[in-house]
Amino acid sequence: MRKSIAIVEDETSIRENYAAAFAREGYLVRGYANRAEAMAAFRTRLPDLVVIDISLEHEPEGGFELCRELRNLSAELPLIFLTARDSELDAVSGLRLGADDFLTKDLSLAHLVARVNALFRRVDALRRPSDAQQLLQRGALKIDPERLQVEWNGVAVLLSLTEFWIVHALAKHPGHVKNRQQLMDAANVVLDDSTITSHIKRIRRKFVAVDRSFDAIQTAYGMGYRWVE
Amino acid sequence: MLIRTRLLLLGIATLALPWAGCQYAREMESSLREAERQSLLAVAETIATSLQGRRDLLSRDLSGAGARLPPGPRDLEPVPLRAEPQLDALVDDWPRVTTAWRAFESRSGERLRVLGGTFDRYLYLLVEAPEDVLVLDRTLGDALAPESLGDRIWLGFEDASGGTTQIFLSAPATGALQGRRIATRELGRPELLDEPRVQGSWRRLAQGWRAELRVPLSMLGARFGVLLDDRDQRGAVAEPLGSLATRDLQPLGRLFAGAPDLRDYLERFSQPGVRLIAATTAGATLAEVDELATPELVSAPQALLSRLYRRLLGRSGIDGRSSANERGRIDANQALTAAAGRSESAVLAVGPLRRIVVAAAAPILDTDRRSVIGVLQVSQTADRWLVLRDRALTRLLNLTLLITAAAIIAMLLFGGWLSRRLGRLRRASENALSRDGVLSDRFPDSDARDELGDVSRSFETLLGRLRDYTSYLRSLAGKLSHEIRTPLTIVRSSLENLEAVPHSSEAAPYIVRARQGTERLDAILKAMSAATRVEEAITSAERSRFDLAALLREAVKAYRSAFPQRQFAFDEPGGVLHLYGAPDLLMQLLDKLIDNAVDFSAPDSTITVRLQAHSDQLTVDVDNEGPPIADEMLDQLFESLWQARADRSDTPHFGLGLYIVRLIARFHGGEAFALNLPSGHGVRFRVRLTRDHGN
Repeated sequence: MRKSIAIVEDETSIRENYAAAFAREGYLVRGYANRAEAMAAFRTRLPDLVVIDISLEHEPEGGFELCRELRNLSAELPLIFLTARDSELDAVSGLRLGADDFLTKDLSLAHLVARVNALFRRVDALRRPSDAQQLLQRGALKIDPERLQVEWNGVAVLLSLTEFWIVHALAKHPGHVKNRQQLMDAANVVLDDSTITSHIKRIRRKFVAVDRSFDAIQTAYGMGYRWVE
Repeated sequence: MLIRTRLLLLGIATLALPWAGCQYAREMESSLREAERQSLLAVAETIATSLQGRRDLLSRDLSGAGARLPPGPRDLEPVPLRAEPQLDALVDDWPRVTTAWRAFESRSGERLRVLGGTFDRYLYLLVEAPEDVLVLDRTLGDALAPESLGDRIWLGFEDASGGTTQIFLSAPATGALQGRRIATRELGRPELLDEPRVQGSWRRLAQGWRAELRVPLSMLGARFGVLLDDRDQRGAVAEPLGSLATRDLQPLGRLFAGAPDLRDYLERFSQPGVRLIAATTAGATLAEVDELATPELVSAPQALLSRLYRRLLGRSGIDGRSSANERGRIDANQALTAAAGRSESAVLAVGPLRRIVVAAAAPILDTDRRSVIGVLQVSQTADRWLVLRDRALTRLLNLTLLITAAAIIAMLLFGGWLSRRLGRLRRASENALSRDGVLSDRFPDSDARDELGDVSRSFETLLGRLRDYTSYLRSLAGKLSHEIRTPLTIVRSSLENLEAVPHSSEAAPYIVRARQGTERLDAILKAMSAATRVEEAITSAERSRFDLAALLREAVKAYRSAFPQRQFAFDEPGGVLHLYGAPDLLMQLLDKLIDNAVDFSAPDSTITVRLQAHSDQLTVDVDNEGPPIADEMLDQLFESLWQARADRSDTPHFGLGLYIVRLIARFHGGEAFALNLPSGHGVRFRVRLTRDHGN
């Protein structure tokens, strides 16, 4: 079955161009110019993946609002922000709202398509449990890839998709330093360095909220991060 | 000219205050003096009027021929004596220096000096023969026999009845002298009579001898003379010398002394600080009552300051110096004026001490009110108002000088305060805009309610506007890049789509060129917004406490593997060095510095990373062995790409990289700068960071 992608973008030329690119890859593409139009369509039927521009027509933050509403409809729906903005703040707010990726418009079409493909692969991987995704126990940490659940000392730690895969990649080989690229690959995302850093920060914070003495993720300066038991 | 100096000059201008005070004091003094002169003149005239026609008091015959002639060498002018002299032939109760001495010389060179003085109702005489040997009378036998005669002093005078009397004094032995006269008895037989009213004593001196005599004034008339019959030995022929005619012992000189009651009369008018002198029209003193030197009125020794003031102001208002250089004498000019019938007053400096006196002289008229029979002078010390003036002046000057000093100090302080505030304002305005375009947001003194506060507030307003404008300019780049990015995305995505669909091979190169164009445009946009993005990222970074030494150790390890063509030396004090900040940002800072060092050094050269700990700071040096940098460039290196980087030869990477280094250093409460190592051995980039001693 062809995967459907919804593009919410107020700039017609860009929307059409992206639509054409995704269509060439064999995706079914739907374009929406504003939040109301998009939500109306999503209520009747959800696409397999959504690409959202942050500023939509009269709403400078319309994309964020749309994202929030969409997350109410579905928690797992893969969601990519695509924007002309490139500030760190925007990226962090976007990711905090549960977006799976945050891309700027200066990314080439080919690159964009590649990242969408990657996201689809990740979702597929989740739905297709394999041997590699067995329960993982590292000291106080317990990872259940099946249900995308992480527990620390028996208490559940609520991680987003990307965060989950980062923790998974680190904890799989304790003591090994994983550089940023390896972490991005593991999470099936293409993020820039500082985004990985902010992911790591949030992961630490979430664990610390459960256990104040948490110190299992160590920074190897200039190289990456490692899991310490 | 500095404000402080100007205010100082203004303060000095207040010195006019004491000057005005002096002028006032002088004015006051001169009016005081004028009043004094007038009242004294009135006193003089009153007393003179009361003496009108009192020839009986004023003198012996002063109406005769030559009465108006000034005292001559034979005329005796007795000095008024302060106290009653002892008849001991000693001079200690006589004035030491006086011009009243009369000297006589005989043909053979013998000398005689005579000085007269009056006290109470007596005339006193000092008779000195400086080189003569006193020859004594024979005590036994006939005192009139020629062979028993020794030295003899003759007094000849007109008596009250108009005749002349001669009295002689001879010395029978050392000590008392007895006046005697020769009365003529029947048949012309002379007889010696004692005259007990005339007494004296004599004394031998180292050279010569001296006699002191006393004669009641009541015996004396207008004419008077003294004669010494000098003998070299008893019974020798006498050599006469003196003011008596040798032949008949008639007096040749006049006696200038008032009647015995004149002094008593004047005494009635005496009061402390006042001197009264009655004199002949020729200026010879007849009587004097002197209370001038009453001690309590003599001004106390003055303080140094008031002496200085007096010197500055001068002894103003003194009409002249009195010609009367000794006590008991009347000023010649005044005597002359009064003798001509006019009253006069003047302020005079008297005596060797130059005491200031106010002197008024009035003529004493005869009963016909035409002829002048005498002169009365009243003098009063000016000490009283001099003291008054000095005291007032000193107080005035002290006060005004104090005020002036206070004013000058106040002005200096005010000036200092003002210039300090202005200096602060100046420094603030100089530093308002830092080199990297950061505007300070507060100005000193902007709460002050005066004009400087206004200036400060205006500056603040100006800066506020400037800041708004600058931030507008700064954000303009970001906004512009955002606005341009959308059409650029349209162009690029269209081109990419175009590449993906079948197109003629002729179109291919154009598509490639169009793509290259968009890429360049993209690069420019990225660079334009990069600085702002980095600033945002830095300011929103989270801080934590971490060990900088450990971070550097690991980082250098990573750089060794990342840049195998360079040697890395790491120099550290060892131990744990804490910093409160963002390790990621510091990592980024190090990356930039190392990138920079690698770019500017030759392969296989050494890059030294050095960590140093100071009390409050940590410094990180990254030294490379590359070529030195021009001094004026050293600071510009750290400026943002934006900040007037017209020089195209600098790669954008270089400019922005070090700008980020500086931003991160400042985020950690420090600073970043570059310096050339001595002797051209490369360049050092130093980052100072605030150390965290936290617990």
